[in-house]
Amino acid sequence: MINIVAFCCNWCSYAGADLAGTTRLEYPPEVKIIRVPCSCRVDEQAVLRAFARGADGVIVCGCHPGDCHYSTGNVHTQQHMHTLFGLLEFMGMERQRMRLEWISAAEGAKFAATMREFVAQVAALGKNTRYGATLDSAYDNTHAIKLNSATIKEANHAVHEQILPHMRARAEEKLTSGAVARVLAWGSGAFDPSPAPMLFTDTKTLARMAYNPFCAANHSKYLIEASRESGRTLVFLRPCDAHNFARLVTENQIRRDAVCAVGIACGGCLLETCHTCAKIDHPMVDETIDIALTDRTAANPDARFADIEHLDGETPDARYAFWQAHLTRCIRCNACRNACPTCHCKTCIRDGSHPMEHLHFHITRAFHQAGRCTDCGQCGRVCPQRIPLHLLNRKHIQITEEEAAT
Amino acid sequence: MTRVIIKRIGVFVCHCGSNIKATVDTAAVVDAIQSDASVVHAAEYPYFCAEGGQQSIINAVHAHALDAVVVCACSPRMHEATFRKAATRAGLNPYFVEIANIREQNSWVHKNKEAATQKAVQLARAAIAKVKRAVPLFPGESAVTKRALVIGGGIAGIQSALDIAEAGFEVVLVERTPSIGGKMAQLDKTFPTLDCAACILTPKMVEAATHEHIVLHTYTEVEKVAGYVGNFSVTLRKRARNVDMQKCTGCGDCYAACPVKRIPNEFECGLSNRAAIYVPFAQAVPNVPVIDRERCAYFRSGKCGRCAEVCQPGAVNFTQEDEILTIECGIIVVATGYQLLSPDMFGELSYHDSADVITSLELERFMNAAGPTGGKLLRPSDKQVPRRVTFVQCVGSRDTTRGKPYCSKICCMYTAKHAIAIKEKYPDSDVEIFYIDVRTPGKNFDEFYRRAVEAYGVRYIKGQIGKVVTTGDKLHLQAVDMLEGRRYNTTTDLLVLATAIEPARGAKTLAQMLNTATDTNGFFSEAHPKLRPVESATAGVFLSGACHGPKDIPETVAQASAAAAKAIGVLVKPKLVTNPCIAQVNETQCNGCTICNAVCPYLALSRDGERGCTTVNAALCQGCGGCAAACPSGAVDLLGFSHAQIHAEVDALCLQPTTHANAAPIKHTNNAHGGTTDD
Repeated sequence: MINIVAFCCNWCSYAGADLAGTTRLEYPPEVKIIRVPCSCRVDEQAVLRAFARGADGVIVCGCHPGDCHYSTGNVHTQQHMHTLFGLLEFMGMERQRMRLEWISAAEGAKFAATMREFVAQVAALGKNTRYGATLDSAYDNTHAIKLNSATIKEANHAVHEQILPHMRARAEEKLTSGAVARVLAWGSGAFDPSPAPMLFTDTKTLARMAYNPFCAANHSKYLIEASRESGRTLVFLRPCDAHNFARLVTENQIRRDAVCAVGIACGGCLLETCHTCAKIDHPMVDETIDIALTDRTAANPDARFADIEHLDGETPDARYAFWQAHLTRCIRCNACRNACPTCHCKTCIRDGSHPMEHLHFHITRAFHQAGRCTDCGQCGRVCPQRIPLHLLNRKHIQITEEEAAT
Repeated sequence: MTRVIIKRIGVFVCHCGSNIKATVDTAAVVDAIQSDASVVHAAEYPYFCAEGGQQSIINAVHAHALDAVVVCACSPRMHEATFRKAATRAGLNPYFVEIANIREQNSWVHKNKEAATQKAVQLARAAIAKVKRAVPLFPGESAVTKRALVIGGGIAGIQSALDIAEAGFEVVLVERTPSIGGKMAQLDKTFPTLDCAACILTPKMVEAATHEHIVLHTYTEVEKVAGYVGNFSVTLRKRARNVDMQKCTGCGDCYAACPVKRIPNEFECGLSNRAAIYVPFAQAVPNVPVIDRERCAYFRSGKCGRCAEVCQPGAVNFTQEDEILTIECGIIVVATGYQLLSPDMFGELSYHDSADVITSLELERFMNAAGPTGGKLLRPSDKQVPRRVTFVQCVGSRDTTRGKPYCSKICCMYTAKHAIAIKEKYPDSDVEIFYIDVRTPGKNFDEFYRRAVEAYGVRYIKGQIGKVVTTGDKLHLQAVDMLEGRRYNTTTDLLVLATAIEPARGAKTLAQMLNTATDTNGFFSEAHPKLRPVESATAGVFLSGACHGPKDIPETVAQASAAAAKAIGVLVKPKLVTNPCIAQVNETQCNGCTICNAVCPYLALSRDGERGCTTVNAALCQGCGGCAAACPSGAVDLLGFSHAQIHAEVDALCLQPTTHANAAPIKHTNNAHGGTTDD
């Protein structure tokens, strides 16, 4: 027997379910209702938990758009559930197991009919074994999908070489004048040529400053701490860094007045995301180094969703196998979380032990970036297991962009 | 929040006569749930909602020292309040009661007794799991500022203000224009009694202005609204009149002396002129002129000052500046009324091309004894009495392509009124009316319309006008008579357009300031179309008159009084009790990212800059829980529907009792949701 959890808002859908009862409209007993004040109260954790504990289908019911008791709650429900369901589907869960439905307090008949239909739909699929109760370690990867990622194109090293002397000069000028206490830039360290973000406080060390196609780390996240130090911090931001910088300022994580932000052009680096990047602007920066600022790199933004569309074209089985093959290798080192500029919670909602931990961690991680992710690609870059995590983010970016377009 | 560990739960399974018992084996439910270690008492009873049933629950709470109660019965929408009260009587916190809905959502919708019984057990387990994670909740209290703000000084605002003031509360009445009175002051007569609008309105205007509890601010606009029900703080901009209200005697010497005279008078719909210093109309309240700074020669060039020279009391003051006032009030009544849709977009009706095409409001001014023609209906083009007058209904109403989708509601009646008035004044004239439908529901309304047709011979033609062409002193109309099914070409002397009603300018901005919703047409939305028609969705903001939708005068006055009654209902309370099921922020987890602030429809959340975390305004929060779902770190929770409670319910419903024993035990620890989730 399958098991369905229905989250119903108190004002419309729960009352609609009551009306189905009052008018004795039958529907299968597989449906169990959880009352919430508003459908927007249902978060991704509740849905994921239901699946993790053995629900075979989850349906979220709320007031019709425009009728929300809390005026706009169901707008958020729609955005959240659309993204969550889209991500789960992308990861191989059958879409038919998830549903969002608007049912008013007057629509007892609609409630009963919807539940009958949903139960039949889920029953046709059988018990849920994906991201669900049965931890299936012996996954079938005969369907494993090969990604057709854009071939790595050459980064424009000339741009980097041109800009670097100006970065050093700007850093020297600001440090000498005392305008800033430190400079956040890439520096070549012990493992040259892979430069890492470094704080320069002394002009004598500026020779170690680097800017080349291996400068992959995103500066913005380092500013969270740097901006809390005394004195201002000079930072060099490429378009991707600058977009995340703006996001972190908006979310009150970076003290804007403690940062002197300098926008620099990007010659592209060796990340997969760089090759489909379209950003050339520097939101919120104080000044720029005006070299090749409007030059696009060799990036091909049109191919941004190529891998997503490729995976979407596969069957749920194949997608599930693809993600199982990758996600079961996850060692929960949290590198993706630590490197992600928009992952800045004090405590992570997925800390602690949960069943389906590594699977639901990644769904949650991606879901929480929806609408905030700037597609900087750090999550995929830092994964020691080479899990293509940026694809999950790309998926919700695609969903969000499609929704905005409609 | 004190955390009470709930160890002793009583479960009460109701038969509801045979409503539940016929489909659910209640004895089996009682047996099954006793396997839960926390359930120390379980009982069944025919009607727990009855006094005897409630008493048995109270007795059981005492006898078994219960911490919490689960009632398996009808929908919580039915008797949750009943059982919470019973729990309170038994000395428990009312939020230590959970209802398992085994009637509406179980026994009434399932026929298979075995399946229904099993589901009832699961629902009971879910309620037990939820109540175990309950925390005692206490409704908050907030003070009420015993003052009302009424925005808009038309008949709606005046009526609401008077009613609230009569109940003994102070009222601040704000009007954007220099005088109160609104649209009703412009009208000639009112339907269906044909009594003079000014005769019934002006005494009310004076009463509002002189009432001991009403403070009137005309020529004043709302700039900012802060706060919440009981504690609003509203910023008003009182525009400079440049005339001292205290010194002015209303003699009128200033506007007689003003050399700038050819300014279209807004009150007269531009049909006559006024000076740069003016009172909008003779009976204006307050009867104090205002200087139109944009037109005044003194303000434009610095050369003039005639008004100041002739003013005996020296009331004219060119240096006066706008005044910013802050009003603390407990409730707000919105009475911003309506305006008429511009007929501009209906080019075929030649409103702009012909002086003899006028709107109904312009006709009101022509018919009014105090109007530009002294009550004579004279064609604007040649100042002759028209022999034939033609009316067009639904100009922009019920028009989904160019106008408004709704019916403007009052046009059928006022057009019948105009027709009768014209026939009364000029019995030889010929009046015809083009209509789509004649809609006259209302007390004595249809009788009135029939009188126009039967006693006055007004001709009603079902159809619309496709084109208006001016030829000589006549208007040629091309129309369709839909009942006859033929084209109908005719000429007329005066064409009157019943243009649609739309929300007053600035209604949308005001709605945003009040954080309340407007409908797709821009009218203010009521909290519930049937049961809360005069309240907005924002607590403490009430709707009066046509700001909520097209209305005639009696309906407006009725709604104005209803809004006042609702407002008084808030103002009389010594304290407001707030819903305890509101958002709560765990400040150690919150990093102040403000993602939750953006989803709150009530602006109840804000970031405390000093502490770097979000705080909840308990008086504003309505408990939807959107913030709790939006918070990525789980720092925001919703009391009464906490993460831990919802997860516990999910677990109880999903982990099947039969498979539960066989399943590998799942270890749980304290998770970020701030509660233990072990079973």
